[in-house]
Amino acid sequence: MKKLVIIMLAMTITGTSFAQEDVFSKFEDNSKVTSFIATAKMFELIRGIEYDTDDPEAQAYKDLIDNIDNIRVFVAEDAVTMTDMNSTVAKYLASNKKLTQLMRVNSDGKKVRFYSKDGQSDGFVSELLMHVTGDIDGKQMAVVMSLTGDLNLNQISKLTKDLKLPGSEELKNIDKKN
Amino acid sequence: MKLVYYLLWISLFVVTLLSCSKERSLQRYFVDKQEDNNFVKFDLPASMIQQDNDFLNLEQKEVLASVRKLNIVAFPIKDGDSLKTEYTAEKEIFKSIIDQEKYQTLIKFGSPTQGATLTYVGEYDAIDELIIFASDDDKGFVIFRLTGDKMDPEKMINVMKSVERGDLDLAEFNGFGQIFSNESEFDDDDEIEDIWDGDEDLSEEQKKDVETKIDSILREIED
Repeated sequence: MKKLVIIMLAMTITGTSFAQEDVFSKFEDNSKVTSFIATAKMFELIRGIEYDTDDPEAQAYKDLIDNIDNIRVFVAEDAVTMTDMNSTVAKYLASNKKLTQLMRVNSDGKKVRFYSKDGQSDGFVSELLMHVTGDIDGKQMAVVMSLTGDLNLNQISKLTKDLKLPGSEELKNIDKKN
Repeated sequence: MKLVYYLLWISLFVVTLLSCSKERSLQRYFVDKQEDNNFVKFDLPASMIQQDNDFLNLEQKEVLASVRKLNIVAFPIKDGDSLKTEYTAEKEIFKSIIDQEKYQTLIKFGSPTQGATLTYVGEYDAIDELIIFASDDDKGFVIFRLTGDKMDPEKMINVMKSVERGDLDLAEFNGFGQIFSNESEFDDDDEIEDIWDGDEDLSEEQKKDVETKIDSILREIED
């Protein structure tokens, strides 16, 4: 009987920790959310391809991709989903004390927040979470971007800029303010 | 106490049973839809391309040999079409198949009206099945399925590059080869290439691209 209880307990605990890690997955199949996900498998596949290039820009991407595990971007434009997204972020931050605020910017009616989890070495983070709310290109939106891996902050600013994500301008200066 | 064990066994049994019935494959889905008139189908076996061509080098031949066939299934709808319910239902079925563990998601894009996924079966350097799905609530959806035996994306890219460089003249293939080169390899590799560009918007473009391509296939078939 004791064994059974322990097994049950273990299952519940692993279950909940999984759930905690993936609080944003519910937005993946939400029909009101615009989402983009590139999985660890994708990056594994790209890493597996020896892509020789003379183009320094492509090389920079390769260096960046080598250290990314996951990219997820969610954009909500309707009030209900926006509220849901914002509260999900708040809950996620509350339950992950290691995610600390990296910087925050308020400009033109939009609020940009960056949170990061420190990585193994200086200037590297293991998780970067961006949360943007407010007026983006004249529309009320909530944007969440989550990046995991062994991330060099300098390289990430480049990626977000090329993805034309809101908040990329702010991230450009991230290493200066840090 | 005994009751607990009894219940545990029962639930285990039910779980096993459920997982068995859930085991659905895309192969099955494609076969099922062969007879369905709401679907547009297109199959292209790789054997259509003559593989003993002299202008292919060994690696290129290997790549071609690893590809078995390309299946395309499309569910087109028009504005105000009565097929929208079926469209939603079919999309759900596809989703339930692709959500199974053996289908590994590479890229997923979704918006209120559109969606696209890139999934594969196998290992990252030995792909057995590559699936591209794209949907648009106003136009319908299309599934590209490339099957083969341990397809190596790296080698595929190399073949594509040699086409780009002009080493490999596609005009030397017969008509079917032409479609094949436009459709299968390029689509897959394009998708990978796009990741290099890292542009989110591309998924959408890709989708439109796919749609125009399927249009051109349909025309080919009609001809």
